[in-house]
Amino acid sequence: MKKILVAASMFMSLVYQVSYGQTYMKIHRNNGSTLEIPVNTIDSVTYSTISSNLVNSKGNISIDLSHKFGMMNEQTLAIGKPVVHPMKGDTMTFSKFKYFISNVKFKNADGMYWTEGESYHLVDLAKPESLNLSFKDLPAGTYTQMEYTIGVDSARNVSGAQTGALSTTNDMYWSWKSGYIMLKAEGTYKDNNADKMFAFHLGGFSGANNIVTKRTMVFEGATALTVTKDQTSTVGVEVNPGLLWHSAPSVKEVNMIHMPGAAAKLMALGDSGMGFFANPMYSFQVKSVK
Amino acid sequence: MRIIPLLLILFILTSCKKEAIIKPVTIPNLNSDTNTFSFEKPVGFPNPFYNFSNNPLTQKGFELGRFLFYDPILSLDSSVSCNTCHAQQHGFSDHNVPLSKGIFGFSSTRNAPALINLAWSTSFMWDGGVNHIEVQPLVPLTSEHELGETMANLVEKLNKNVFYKKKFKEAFGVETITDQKLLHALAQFTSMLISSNAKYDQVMAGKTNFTPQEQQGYELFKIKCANCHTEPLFTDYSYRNSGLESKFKDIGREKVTQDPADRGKFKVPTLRNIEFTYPYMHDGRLFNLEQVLAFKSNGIQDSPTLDISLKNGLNLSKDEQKAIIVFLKTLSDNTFISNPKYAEPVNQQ
Ligand code: HEC
Ligand code: HEC
Repeated sequence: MKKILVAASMFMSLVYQVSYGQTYMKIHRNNGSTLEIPVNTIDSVTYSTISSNLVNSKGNISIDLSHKFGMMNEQTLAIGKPVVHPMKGDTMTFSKFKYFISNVKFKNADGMYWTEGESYHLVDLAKPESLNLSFKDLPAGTYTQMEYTIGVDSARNVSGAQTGALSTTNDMYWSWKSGYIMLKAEGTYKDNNADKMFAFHLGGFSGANNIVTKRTMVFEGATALTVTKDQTSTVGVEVNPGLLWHSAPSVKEVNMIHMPGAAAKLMALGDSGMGFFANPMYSFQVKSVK
Repeated sequence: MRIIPLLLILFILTSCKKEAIIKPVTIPNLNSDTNTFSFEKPVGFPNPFYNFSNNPLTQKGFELGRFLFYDPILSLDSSVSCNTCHAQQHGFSDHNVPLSKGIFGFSSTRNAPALINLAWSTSFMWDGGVNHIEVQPLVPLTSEHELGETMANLVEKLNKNVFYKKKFKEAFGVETITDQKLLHALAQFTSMLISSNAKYDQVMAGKTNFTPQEQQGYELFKIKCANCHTEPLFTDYSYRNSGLESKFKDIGREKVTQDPADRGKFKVPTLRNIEFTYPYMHDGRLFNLEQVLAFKSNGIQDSPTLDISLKNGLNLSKDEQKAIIVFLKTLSDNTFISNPKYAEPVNQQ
């Protein structure tokens, strides 16, 4: 009986809402994040796991993104630095490169999910602090994967004025055809030694034009991810936007996309899902865990 | 040790008595103003589409929206406000010009529509490109032909303004003005522009009667017009090609959907206060109701996307046209166009 009271008071301070679904028990925490515990594993979760890992023992994860270009990430992508597309041969210099990562969830070895509350991140190559996605207060333990979305889910595209990463002051919104620009790449390219402009604004959240993509990043073997109490585990991820042009035409043929549609879709998703948004292996590669 | 899950479940169960499935708690939107200010759905109107769920309506929020609507601070060179193109005495449509002028006298490409009963509208603009009332102002605010601002610049400008810092704090409890709160305030004003007190409404409520000619017009209207201009809002919020032209200068809804089947389709506009909102049509090409009725009777241009109900024209005699115009004037709501609640606020800056 005492133990119940201890557990109860512990959870009272932590738990904001508890709902009990068919397969997952959801615990909504005060800081906005959610824990989802698969019901069929509950038997194996012990008192100490819950009390120390879920409540007392919490650590952080930092996903550090470094941007690359080329076939095998051999070039570094930075604002103002020319890169060459390995298949099309185009020399491109980016003045802007921004995209959304959203709805981040981490899954632990027991199948439990930690879900970030209000999970929208705008990665902006011009803003070094945005290249670090930091997730705070995850229960200690081993995490096997991160689930995330490239782009902004359809719900937030149809629900009116938003804030934070989704603020329209970030210049990632189409006003005349409501919806988020999920990725913006602007700069110049060489065409017979002349510098010409390119501007790709990719978006589309519904029907045939949908480019919002759910993805998974796996942590295993040399990149196994353990969260330790009061520590930050840092995951190094290489991102390769060069994939945008693997299937799409050379920038000399198409240098502008300004609305959702077939062109945006080909660029984002590529032929048979091998584009930047969807490529299962090469667009976002886990390189190290420290 | 496999007790805790049991304890947990026990705890959950005991705290909620016998319910085996515990539903997520919904936290009510606690509204600081508990005064009587509220959205009142007129009798006979359907439920509004906009329900303020993420933007609780308050008197202060509405008043702030009103200030903003009339304030040229929203434009790049402080010369133009929403009211420049949406004037109350014209049912919040333009000042009787086909294409309204924005900053530096630039012309917008379409006629500014009336802003009436917008809370019932599911999408906005002549082509329906905007999907929510809260994000609609982004178009005029950032269009170089209208207010010409950027959202980042605008938010910075407002945050330097002592008057608005105070107003936003009172309305939303925020120290820093964000684009979201700016859009919320404007939506509180625009969604409250409700017109439901025309002679037509009095007749429907049984308080008065149509004249015989109004009645004749109403009967014709129900047959010829109401499939698109549906009562009581006088629009069904659909997009249709009403036969204005056959070679399209403005492709309308196709611009948004990229579907050739939508070529030349425009939003069916409300006809409430139609007497005050001239000139008419998306490009303001028709200057009075006589011209509109003459066009609807025998000026309809055929094209592949022309609405099926107009394929054979509407064939109205001169008398019938006159009767419909007389009926349309029963949709004039003087309490709307002169309502002090919607008028330019006395400047307190
Ligand atoms: C320069 C003139 C101009 C200014 C200034 C202007 N508008 Fe408009 N407004 C228009 C035009 C033109 C349209 C129709 C545009 C279209 O369909 O492409 C419109 C459409 C609208 C609509 C859509 C109505 C409907 O039924 O679909 C709303 C709402 C609106 N404006 C509100 C505002 C607000 C709020 C402001 C101030 C932030 C504003 N407007 C400033 C000209 C203007
Ligand atoms: C097939 C649907 C349809 C029918 C039937 C129809 N209309 Fe319209 N009406 C429209 C559309 C769509 C527009 C806007 C066209 C544009 O701007 O390109 C419009 C515009 C108008 C306007 C101008 C409104 C403004 O604010 O500019 C008036 C007035 C009008 N209609 C009256 C009538 C009357 C009266 C009838 C019956 C005799 C009628 N309409 C029948 C679809 C219809």
